[in-house]
Amino acid sequence: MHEPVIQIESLSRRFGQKSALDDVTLRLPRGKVYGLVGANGAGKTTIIRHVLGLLRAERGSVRVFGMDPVAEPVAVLSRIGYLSEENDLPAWMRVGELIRYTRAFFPAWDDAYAEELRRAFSLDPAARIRDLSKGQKARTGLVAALAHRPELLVLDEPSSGLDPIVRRDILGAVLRTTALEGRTVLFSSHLLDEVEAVADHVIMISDGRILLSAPMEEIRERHRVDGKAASLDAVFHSLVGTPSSPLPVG
Amino acid sequence: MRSPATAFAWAFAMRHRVGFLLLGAYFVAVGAVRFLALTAGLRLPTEWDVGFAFLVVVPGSLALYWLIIAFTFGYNGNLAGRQSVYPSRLFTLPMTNTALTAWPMLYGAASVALLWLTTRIVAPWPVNLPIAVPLVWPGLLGLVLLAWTQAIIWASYPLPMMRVVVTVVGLTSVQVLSVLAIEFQASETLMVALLAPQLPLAFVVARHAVSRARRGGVTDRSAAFERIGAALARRGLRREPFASATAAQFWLEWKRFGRSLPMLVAFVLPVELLLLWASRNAPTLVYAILVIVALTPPFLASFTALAARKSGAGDDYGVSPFTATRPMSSAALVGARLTMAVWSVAAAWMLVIPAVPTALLLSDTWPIVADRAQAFASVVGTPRAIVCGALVLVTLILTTWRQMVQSLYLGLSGRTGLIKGSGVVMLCGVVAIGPLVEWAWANGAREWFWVLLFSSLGIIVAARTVLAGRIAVRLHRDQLLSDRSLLLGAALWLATVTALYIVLLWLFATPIVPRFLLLLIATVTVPLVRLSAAPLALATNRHR
Repeated sequence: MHEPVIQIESLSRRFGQKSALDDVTLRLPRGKVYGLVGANGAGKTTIIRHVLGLLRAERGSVRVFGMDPVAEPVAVLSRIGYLSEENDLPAWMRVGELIRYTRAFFPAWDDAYAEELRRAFSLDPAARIRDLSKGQKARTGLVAALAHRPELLVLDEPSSGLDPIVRRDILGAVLRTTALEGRTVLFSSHLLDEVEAVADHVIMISDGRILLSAPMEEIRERHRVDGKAASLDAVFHSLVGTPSSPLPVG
Repeated sequence: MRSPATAFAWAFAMRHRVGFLLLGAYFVAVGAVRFLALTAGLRLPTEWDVGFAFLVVVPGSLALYWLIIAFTFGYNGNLAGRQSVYPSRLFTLPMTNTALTAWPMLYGAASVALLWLTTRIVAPWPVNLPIAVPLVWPGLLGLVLLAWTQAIIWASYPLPMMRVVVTVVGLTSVQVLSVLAIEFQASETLMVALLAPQLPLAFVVARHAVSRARRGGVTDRSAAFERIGAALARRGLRREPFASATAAQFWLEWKRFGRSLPMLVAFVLPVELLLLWASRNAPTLVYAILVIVALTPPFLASFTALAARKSGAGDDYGVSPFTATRPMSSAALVGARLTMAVWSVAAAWMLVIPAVPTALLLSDTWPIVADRAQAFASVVGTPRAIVCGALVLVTLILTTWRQMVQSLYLGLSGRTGLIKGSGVVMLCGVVAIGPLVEWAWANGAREWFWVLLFSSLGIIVAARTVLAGRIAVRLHRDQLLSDRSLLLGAALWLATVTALYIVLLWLFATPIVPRFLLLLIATVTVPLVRLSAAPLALATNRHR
């Protein structure tokens, strides 16, 4: 059996008095889209920051491609594409400069693919990042994250606060990445319909604990209401114990 | 909060509470020194000496600059940008433009006035000053300085960088006024008459600036420049890709921080060298100008280092995810910054080295310096004089680099408490060292000079050795540096210390200076601990 891309064992993390993660265990095999869902502050970003090696495992362990991302940041990060929720690209850089700069770090960088993405997203290479709209910034970050065809694409709340067109671009990128054989996507969001549309496997997290980790199909099969598959929204709220968002009256 | 005035006061007090507390503690300490001096019969300074400068002038000036930054909201905005630095979130408050302008100006003015009056009353002023210390006008000058800075900083400008030019010109004019006043011993009445009317004028200008910024009333004239920039960028973007990740990271560091020092030097140097034309008949002034010019790059480097030691943007010391997720080791990231510092320092000195002899020649002051150099060569011998000159130059260049990188480990650690705490400790040290040395010298330390020098250097060397060993172990254990790099670093450090020791031995070939002392000096001079701690600090910050 193939080694999982991400393997998290009994990971716990506290920030002062607050427990951010509590005994989290996850094994994510290669070649799927993993949707990490939970309310704000549930622990999604903390998991992602452990995967990227930005947080050191206080208790438990984290392995990415079989390696410790803190001990071997170069080997791990060169195989990951990452789009941050904060989108903290250097504001003073121009789009073309960012592409030229990022290219240097990834031997597998695909110039043709980068150019294709840039054109598809209508990004002017001479435009300064600080002058771009929020959506354009997200697209620029996506070009930098995707053009080296990463084995693992990590998207932390990528569509938070973005318009539907940019969200469509991001989801399209997720689908394109998975179309490439053996690629894996870890995708955190609190927009459950978005996760439902693209994820093969859903991980639900609340208050730092994993509530559910199962393939999308299995979730649909397991949670049926009047013979119909329940929405991810309804499943999540039934597990968390909060009322689901009201259904539109038709 | 019962009123906007209280809310403003509360916001300023909370935002800067640590600074206000420190300032209060400083005045209590200075007051205690004065009280003890008066009651215990200790010697008060009789003239403008080093101790007084360190105890009162340095902290007083720093406190004034801090108050100016605090009450102009200088922490918030981009000073080089077009937009007003006045926080735009305050524009949505249901307050008039007059109130928005008046409260920060009023609180700032009150703080500056209090700073001056406390300094005037509490500080142990030297008794034999050539002029009586005025009661009003220095404080009034501080108020004017603050008010005009607020007006300039809060204005929006049609072009980027315009604010910097206006600030430099405007504030230099105010500073020149103070220098002239001291030089010509201007009367209190005259100075008050000159300064007081500027306060309402500055308020009117500041109110107009806030009002225009609030309604976005300044046209952006930078579009034409941006088009030129974009056209140049398009040409630049067709350049070859970077040869390596290290080259790319160096490029980023250079663009972010590397250009600041040469630019600052290029800005300050001509002003300093122009003074040579005014000092043709005053050799002492020529030497003083040359010393100031020589110290300019290290001095300015300490300012650029404050920005360069940050990992992220803005006021945040944490590593941004963008930097932290670069597939590079922490040592390589630090290495790129150290290399950037080397090039930045080289670029700064490449401006200074040809500019100084050119200015000396053009201003006809070259003979003054040449005569002094020849006199020195005739005493110590030409080879030794050349080596001495070269050593001074190399020391200045290395000091500039050292200034840029020595506190890197603090900033890269990302611990705000540690960074700000070290600043406070440093400040306290600077304030205390002058009076302490003076006091010790006057109370018998002269006889113990060599013992004190040896023992303090010995303690420093021992502490550095222990710390360096511990850091090396951590670097090895956390795999931040390979064994080869560690050995190479240690060998390089050892070689540099040995080379410096040999040069010092040759230079001071006299039995008066013990060899052991020279070895200690060489060991202390070459950076080791703080530099090797930088990758460790970044790794701690990067993988929290």
